[in-house]
Amino acid sequence: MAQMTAETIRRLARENFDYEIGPEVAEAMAGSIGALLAMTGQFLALGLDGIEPAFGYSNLVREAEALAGRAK
Amino acid sequence: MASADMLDFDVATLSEKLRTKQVSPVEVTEAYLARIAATDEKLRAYITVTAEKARSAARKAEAEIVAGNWRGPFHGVPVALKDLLYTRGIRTTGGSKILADFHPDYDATVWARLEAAGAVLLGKLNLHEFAYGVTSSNPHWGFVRNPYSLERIPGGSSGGSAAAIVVHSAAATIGSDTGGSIRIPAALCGCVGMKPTYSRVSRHGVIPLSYTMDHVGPITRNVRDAALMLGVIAGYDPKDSTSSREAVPDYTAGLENGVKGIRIGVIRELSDGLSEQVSRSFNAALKQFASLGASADEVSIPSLAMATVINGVVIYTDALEYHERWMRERPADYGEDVRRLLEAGMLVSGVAYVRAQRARARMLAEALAALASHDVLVAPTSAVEAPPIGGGPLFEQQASEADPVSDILRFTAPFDCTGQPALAIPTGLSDRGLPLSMQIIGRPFDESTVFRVAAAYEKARGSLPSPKM
Repeated sequence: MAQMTAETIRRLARENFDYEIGPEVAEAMAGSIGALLAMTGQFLALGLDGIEPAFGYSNLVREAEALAGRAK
Repeated sequence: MASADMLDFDVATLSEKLRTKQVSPVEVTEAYLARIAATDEKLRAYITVTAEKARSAARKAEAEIVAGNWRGPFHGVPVALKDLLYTRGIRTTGGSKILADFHPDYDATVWARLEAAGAVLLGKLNLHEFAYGVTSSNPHWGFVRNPYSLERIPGGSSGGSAAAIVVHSAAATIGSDTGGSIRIPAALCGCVGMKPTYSRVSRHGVIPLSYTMDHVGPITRNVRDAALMLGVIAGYDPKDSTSSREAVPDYTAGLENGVKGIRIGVIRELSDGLSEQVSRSFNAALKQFASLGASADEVSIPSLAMATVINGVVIYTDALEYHERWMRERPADYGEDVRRLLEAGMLVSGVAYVRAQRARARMLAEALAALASHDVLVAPTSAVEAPPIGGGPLFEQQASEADPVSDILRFTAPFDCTGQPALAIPTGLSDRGLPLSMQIIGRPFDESTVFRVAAAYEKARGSLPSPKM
């Protein structure tokens, strides 16, 4: 992921969340949070082939069962 | 018996004296309420003190014990909860302005279990706002202070939970840990903090920070108390869809077994960048283990280098999902630091989130490989001692050139990513008289071995000098 600019940060917040981030705050975020997010580009270097995210179907079923129980 | 003596008892000792009617729950509760009154104006460990409810619960416990109906080791024991756990009819703020008047209509499972065990609730403990930070410098409910130096942070986010333990304004407390929020305050305040395996303790009724990394666990004066408390709160809960059905053992059973023959892995990636004081104390702890008959050698978990990024991406996203409506409608009601972190969540892509979740499996696989030939892993809990309140002076003892918060989080966040049990235990005091700590990390659901190793070390090391408060 490329490092974010302040303008990109402001635009993402505005368009996706209808939320205004001030220019000075966005500038600071570009240097701190932006740098961290840029590092997410290195995740694949950890060797993620064949690994699925651990969002288990069993949890989905249990959540639904609990919801159904509450609805009775 | 003098009040001060009662306050000095750990849970195990107090429990025995309650069971045998040498002290009464009513007088113990009064002693703790007086201690809160004497310390909390300075300490700010409590947001809400439930004095009348505590007295009522203590009277009930006394009547039951006198009648021969002792419920177990927490019957009549005064405890307190991080103000992130729902308590029916009792204000639950999350340390925020947004929930300043929120009174839940049900109890968190953790509190329901403690209450069923006969515990007496003293009140709700201060924390970093919504558990999103490591200082517990709360702009809405006061800055929690470190009992060893009131000018320093207690760590966070469960800062009130650790501070109350150390000044004896609660016998045992509950904290939560998503990036280190049980272990960091336990480390900086000089007490024991146990983050159990993910899913071991129910998250039902706990205000979330991250759905997939929130852990709830005890903060206590010693290892035995942590083992006793985890035994009460652990176990399957149908109200939490991620809750484990793994059987809960008696965590106190192996506490006296020692560490002879135990194989300890020292995590290479968490052995550098330490302050001189932390390094010296940690190495002394390793020598202590050797003198007790354990063996120690180095292990490597290469993906730990990315742990704070993985932890951060998951928390940014999960936290914003929970807070998004309030962020639109009431952004000014958040403290500035928490608002900035929530804004950061607006920048995380779905791709990065899913990859972070996948990377957690890689990290756990490497940790399990290390544990195939070792019983536990060890590392310092923090690279630095408690920094001064206000942040800036943290740099005076900064161990690395990284973000100073990373000097704390990089040691704890990995085991929120992997969900392994990890216990923080004091290793001594620095030259400035501030607590230092290491963590002992186990295999998933093997809290018993973690407790066993910690108990052996604690017994050999002896007690820390108490703070002057």
